Amino acid sequence: MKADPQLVKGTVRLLVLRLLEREPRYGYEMIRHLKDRSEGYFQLGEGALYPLLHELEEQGFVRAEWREQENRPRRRYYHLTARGKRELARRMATWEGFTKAVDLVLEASHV
Amino acid sequence: MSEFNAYLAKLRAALDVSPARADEIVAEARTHLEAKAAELRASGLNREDAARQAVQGFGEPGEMAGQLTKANGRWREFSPFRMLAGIAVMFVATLTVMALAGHGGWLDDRWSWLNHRAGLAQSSAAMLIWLVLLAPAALVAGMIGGRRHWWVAATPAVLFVVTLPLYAVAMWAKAVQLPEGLLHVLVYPVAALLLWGALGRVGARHAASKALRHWAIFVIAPLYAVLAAVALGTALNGLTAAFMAIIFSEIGIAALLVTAPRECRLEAGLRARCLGALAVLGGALVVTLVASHAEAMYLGGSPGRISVLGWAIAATAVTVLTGALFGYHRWREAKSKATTTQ
Repeated sequence: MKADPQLVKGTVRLLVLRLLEREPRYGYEMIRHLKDRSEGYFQLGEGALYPLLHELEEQGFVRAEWREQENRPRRRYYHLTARGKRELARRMATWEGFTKAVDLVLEASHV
Repeated sequence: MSEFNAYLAKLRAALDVSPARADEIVAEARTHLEAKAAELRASGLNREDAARQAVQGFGEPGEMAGQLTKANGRWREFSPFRMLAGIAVMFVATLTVMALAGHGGWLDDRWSWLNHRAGLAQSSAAMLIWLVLLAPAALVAGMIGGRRHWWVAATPAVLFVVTLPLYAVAMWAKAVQLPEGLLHVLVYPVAALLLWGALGRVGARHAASKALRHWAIFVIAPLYAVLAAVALGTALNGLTAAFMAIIFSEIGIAALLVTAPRECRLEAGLRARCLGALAVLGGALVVTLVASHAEAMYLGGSPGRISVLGWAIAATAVTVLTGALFGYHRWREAKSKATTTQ
């Protein structure tokens, strides 16, 4: 199924914050993870991800740090800050409210 | 990987952020491109195709740079931290040199030799020494200020040009018999503007180098404070100015060290090392003060002055103490690392 760019644009911030909730990740890993977990639906390009990550960093929602890797090049890991966690909770609540409302309308229309 | 150099060079050239931030962005893009190309090669693509496809994901470098610049607004817009840190360096350096080379300062009677040999007027020799002594500070201020704030190196001259009240301060300084060095700086604003401004620009060009930033933070800034400490012990009539220099050194360097990690985003643990450097600096000043008073009490002389021997003893003590602290820190680090890996 081909992703709707408008829908992706509206949800990618929430998805990235959610991805970082459990553990710090680097950019390439996030792209792979989003693609795998969504069964190929979210094929986020680097041109979209990195400006978003830097914007989130700018806003204090995530923090980045370089980590040395054994026998591999170092990577820049992003992790969620306390402010980012609050932002995630807020967006989750908004998203749940939105999907619930959409479901209600869709179900009502179906009946 | 050389395939990415051309793309990354274009990306970097189009970024309108501080050199340090541009370094980080390019390094991050490079690790991403290399990882992606490696994966594509593993899936069967040849080296050239893998590199080309990896770069395609990033898109046109100018467009990508535009988005990244927009996302990194803090690094692009006016940065009061960088500007203040640069000004602090120049301010501290000016006050320190004032205490050292101003009327009654440590170098005051020494440059009469220069006057004699070079056939220079007293004021010309003074200006020469001032400009030379402040040159490293101008370079450092430029490095810290970065491309957007390289002009901070010329702060004393700019302040003179744009603010007449500073002249009133200088007059006050003369009235209360502070070293006349301040006036020497202020009466040569054009020369200072040209020299320090140019050096600031040179420093800004090299601000991208992490090694140079380290050098600026850990060598030059403490050096000026140590010079201030020397001035404390050796100045005759400039004792008041020396105290001022030390107070402002501490404030300026503290501001510099606190703001530098934020701006430079250096590796983890830098903040602790900055605070350590500040502690050593404070220790050096205290030791100098104690040494000068101890010398006055036990060997004669007046408090506030210190002989070369006294200064050498104090400097050795500080060096040994610093070495011991550094060694202890490294030992603890090694121990902690060994515990973690077990």
